[in-house]
Amino acid sequence: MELVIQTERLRKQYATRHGVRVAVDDLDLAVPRGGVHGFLGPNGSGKTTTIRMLLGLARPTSGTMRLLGEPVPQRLPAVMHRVGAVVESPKFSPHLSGRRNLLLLARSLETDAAGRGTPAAQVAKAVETVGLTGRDGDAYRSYSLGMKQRLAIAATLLKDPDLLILDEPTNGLDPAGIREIRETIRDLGASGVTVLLSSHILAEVQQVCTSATIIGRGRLLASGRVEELVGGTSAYRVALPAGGSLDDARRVLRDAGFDVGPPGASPTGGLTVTTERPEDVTRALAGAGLWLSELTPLRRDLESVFLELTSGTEMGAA
Amino acid sequence: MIGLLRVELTRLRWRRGVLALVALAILLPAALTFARIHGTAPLTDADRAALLDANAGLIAECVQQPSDFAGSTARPGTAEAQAACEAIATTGYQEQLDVDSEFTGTVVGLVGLLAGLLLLVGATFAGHDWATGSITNQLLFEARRGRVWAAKAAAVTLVGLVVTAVVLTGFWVVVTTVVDARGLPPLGTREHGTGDLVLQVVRSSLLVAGAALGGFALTTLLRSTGATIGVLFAVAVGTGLALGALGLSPRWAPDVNLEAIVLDGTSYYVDVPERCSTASADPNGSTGEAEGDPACLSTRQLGLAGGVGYAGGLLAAVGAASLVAFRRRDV
Repeated sequence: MELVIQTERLRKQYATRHGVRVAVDDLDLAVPRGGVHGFLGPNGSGKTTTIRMLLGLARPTSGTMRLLGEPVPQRLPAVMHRVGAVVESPKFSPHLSGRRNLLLLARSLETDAAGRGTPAAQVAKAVETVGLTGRDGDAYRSYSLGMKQRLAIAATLLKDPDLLILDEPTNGLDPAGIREIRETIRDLGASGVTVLLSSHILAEVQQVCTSATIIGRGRLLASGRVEELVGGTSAYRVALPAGGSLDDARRVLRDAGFDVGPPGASPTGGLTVTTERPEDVTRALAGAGLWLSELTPLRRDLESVFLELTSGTEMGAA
Repeated sequence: MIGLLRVELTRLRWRRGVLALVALAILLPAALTFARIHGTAPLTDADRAALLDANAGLIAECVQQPSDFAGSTARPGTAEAQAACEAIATTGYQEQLDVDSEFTGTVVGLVGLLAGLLLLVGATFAGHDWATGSITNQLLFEARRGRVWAAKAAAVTLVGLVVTAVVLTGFWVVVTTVVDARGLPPLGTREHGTGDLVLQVVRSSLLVAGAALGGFALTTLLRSTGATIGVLFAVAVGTGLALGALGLSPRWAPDVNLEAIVLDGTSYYVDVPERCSTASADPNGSTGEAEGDPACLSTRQLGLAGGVGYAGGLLAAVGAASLVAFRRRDV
């Protein structure tokens, strides 16, 4: 599996008046090429610090990092033109228009070498992609937070990147804006761009991401495909039609060797049965003359996994 | 690198604070030049009549005793005495526009003004990047921090160089044109010829460019325009006090070194040892200076090399610290 981001024993510590504060603690991060990878952790868990180190904005205390296969920060200049990033809040010159801010960034790229077209054309395309056409001539300071986020994403698109690193990209957006940005991220992931999406919004990560890493106190807590993280479905809710006897059903299923939850275990009524073979549940009940009205898989969501993994973790670093 | 330099020059051009400072760097010298020309303009007939009228009593006294007023050899009460006394009352105190005195006077003040303004250009240019956080974005597009620092430094240096060269060249073109038009001492008879003026423009432009670079480097090091201004204020106010308290020579005062660069060498005064004063009180009238004791010389010379070494050393130290910090510190 090709990794676009890889860290090994990555560590960042700061000397403070109260001693040494560890922001990232021997973090092993692996992000495979393609798709959208969520990067989850409570506030202060070290997500932004990790991203800043990957992008050369902060120096690691120890450990190694690779971006697109190249060791960074040593070879960062060689890969930076393939990496788009929004780190923390958008940061542009307030009195310049959005277009001028982007033009300055586009002109600093070696456009001829990459064959991306003129800076003005790049800017126009990026502005159109994020839906800022018509407002790109306004001063940045007059933008709403949502527009600032869009401009920041437009800036990342100037590079035509292979890897996008987005730190809370939907912060401050209205619902329509959030949906647009999520669709943009999903489309980018589908188009072959690898996206690392740092977010607090767990539903967003579950909706948009194919894989995710969860960290707490600067340490890796879990990593993998989202469906693997939330776990394979093995619990099912069994419901019977009106007049059906749940007590009879419980007895039949227990006699057949199923693990049946206690009465009231299912908050929506019915029985809770744990099995890897749900078809055997229907067969057992049908064999006893009991007919199902519903057999529903009970899924854990990412939020419950996240809370389980991060419970007890305390704030360490931004 | 050229591409990055172009980007930084554009960034400079699009900064309103920078534009305002550059406009000041052009308008203030222009106003000063106009004031010098206006203040040294020859008297009109009406001005002359008004002066004669206002000083009629003084002129009458002078005509009776011309030797008391101008050491004139004219005989009292004569037409010659009348003419001499009227000259004293009118043109005698009228300052003339003079290339040599502008060379050693006005231009030094102008260069000081330009150095201050262009230093602020460098400081506000760097400070804006840190205040808005836009430096983060810039480094996401060009990760080679040394190149980013160099491009920004080159941009402010270039602006300092060009603005000063334009302003001082304009000043000298106007002043020499006016001097020639007024029939004042022509070029060949002046102490400072065209070559001196050109060299002064070159030296001054480099000095101001260095100030702009210093402002940029210091602000990049401190990451705040306010902090830079605070440091410069402390230097301006504290240097004299510190030199006095530490018993150091005025040779280390910034203004003396600035003058040495602009004027291709200057002189400054130092306190002489007490024994020199004792010697000067000697009944024989001999002094330390007269006896050739170098320690008793109250006037010392500082050459161009000394001034350049002082300013260059400071700039190199601040520049190196700024570049190293910019390359190594977290952003």
